[in-house]
Amino acid sequence: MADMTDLQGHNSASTPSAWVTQVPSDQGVLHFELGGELDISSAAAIRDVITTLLEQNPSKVVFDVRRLHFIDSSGIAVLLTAARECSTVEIAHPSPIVRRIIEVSGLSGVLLLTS
Amino acid sequence: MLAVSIVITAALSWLCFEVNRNNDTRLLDLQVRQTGTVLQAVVPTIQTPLASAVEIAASTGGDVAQFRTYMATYVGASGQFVSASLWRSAPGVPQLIATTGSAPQLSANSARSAAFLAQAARTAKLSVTGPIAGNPYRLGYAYASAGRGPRYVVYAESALPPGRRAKIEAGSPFSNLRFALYLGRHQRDDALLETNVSRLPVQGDTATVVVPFGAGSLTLVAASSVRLGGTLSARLWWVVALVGAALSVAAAFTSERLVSRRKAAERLTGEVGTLLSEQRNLAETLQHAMLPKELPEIEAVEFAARYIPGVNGVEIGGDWYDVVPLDANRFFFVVGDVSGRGVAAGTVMASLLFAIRAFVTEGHSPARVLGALSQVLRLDRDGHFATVMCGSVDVERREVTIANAGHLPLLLVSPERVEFLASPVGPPIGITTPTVYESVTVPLPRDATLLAYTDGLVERRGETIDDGLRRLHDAAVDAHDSGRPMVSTVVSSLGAEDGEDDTAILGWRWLT
Repeated sequence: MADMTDLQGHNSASTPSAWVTQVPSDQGVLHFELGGELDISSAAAIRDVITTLLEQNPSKVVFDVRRLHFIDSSGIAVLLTAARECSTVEIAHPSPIVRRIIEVSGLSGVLLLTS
Repeated sequence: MLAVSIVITAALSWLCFEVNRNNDTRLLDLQVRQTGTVLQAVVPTIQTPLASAVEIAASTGGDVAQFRTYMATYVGASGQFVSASLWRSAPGVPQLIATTGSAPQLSANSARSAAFLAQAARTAKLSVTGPIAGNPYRLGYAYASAGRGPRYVVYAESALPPGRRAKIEAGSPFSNLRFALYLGRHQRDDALLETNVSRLPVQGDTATVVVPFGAGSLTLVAASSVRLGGTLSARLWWVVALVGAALSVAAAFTSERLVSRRKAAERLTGEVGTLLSEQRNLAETLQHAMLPKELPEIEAVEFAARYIPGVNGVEIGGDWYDVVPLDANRFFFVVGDVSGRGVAAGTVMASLLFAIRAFVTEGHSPARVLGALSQVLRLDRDGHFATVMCGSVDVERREVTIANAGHLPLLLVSPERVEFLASPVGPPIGITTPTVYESVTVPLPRDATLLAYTDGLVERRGETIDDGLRRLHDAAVDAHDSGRPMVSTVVSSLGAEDGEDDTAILGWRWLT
């Protein structure tokens, strides 16, 4: 039914360091799988993809991050871009690394951590 | 149009989001005043090398070779000065003892140089003279030795831009700002240091700020032909960069300082020596020149701080530290981390640094400072957010009041306990506008060292942040038990100098 769109963020060495895939989901919900390492080099490309899709005005955005190994402040900014446009943003299946970064940054009220 | 007006004081009325002409005037005024604050921060970067050189001269009886060796790092192609000279101040004409770099241009007029050096010998502050005619014009600085015995003066000159014209890069946000910088309190052509307009005085709606600069003053006049609006941060960066270039401080400054009261320095000679020997001349960008190089002199407290740029790539990070004395017994500290890298992150960092200083000066508590800050930065508009750890320390009562916007906890190191101090953690600055932050006041033991730092110190790929915090904890215990200097030991144990991310660390401890 819906396309599985594979989109990648490349760093200067041309090896994709982060990728995002849109997953079919309920009406009004944007569901992404986000993986790799979302950092300063990969964040911009990923953000551009997400902001385009956010124009659909979803009621909820879910990021499945089970395959996301690292996130820095630029990566967090990408997730927060979604939080600005949509009042409910879930971060699903975060690894301990990603979970702790979001908790320690005082963002667990803005980015809802779910398993 | 909905106008949201958040007035804290008349001075801070720029926090009004209404876009109109009045707002532009207030923004420009603030921008010019903020630039004035930055210019004051430049003084120690000039004064410190001269002060050290004159100390060396006073203790070696004016040894020529030692003077030249010491000043060599600061003079020449990569240094901030084009000339440095050592003089002995005596009744009558000051005697030139040694020169390094080119000859002092001031000496071409012997009456003028004698008068300036004699005056410099009578003040404990940095003396500034100029512009000194020549090709290019120069700015002269002098610093004299203190105490008994023969008085020495170190005199250095830096080059102003050719024709005293600022070079504006095409398309830079600064190209819409017209400014002139003068030495002294008046806008006189013979006091002009640098400008980017072809006809003075600067025309249009101008804002003027006069700031103390060593023993003298600087006057900055600026006007903008376009709305400043949301690009306030970007413009501030360019003003600072251009003015800094005029004062030749972009090159050759160090990123770490230890300042303590003189007696304490003598007691802790080992520690001072270690930290001073670690000073390096880094080709950093100007934004980190704003970090205080001289930390406050507060009775019975010793400070140490470092900013370490990340090794990856050429873009600089947005980490910073700052300390603002509140009174003889209290000070305000902050460590922060702007998201992302590059000039934009550095620009935001500079703006937050100034905003915090302004709020602290207005008398706001740490929680209120963060609340006010949360109205200054917006991720959606400015493209960045920032984590900030700040607080006020009462030395007499031995307590710290902490407020935290998404930042890592303070580490307390003392004989009985080494622990991360818990505090309520609000969201980073720029995420929700406005935000109300809470603080906590923690009593501290007699023998206590506190460390504030950014995540560059503890974050490594492939491990959770808690692993890094544990490493910091253990390194701090180790440093404390072995009596080695806390900040530098922790930096090297954690390999911060090889990290990808930049790092800022601020530490302080009671001396009694």
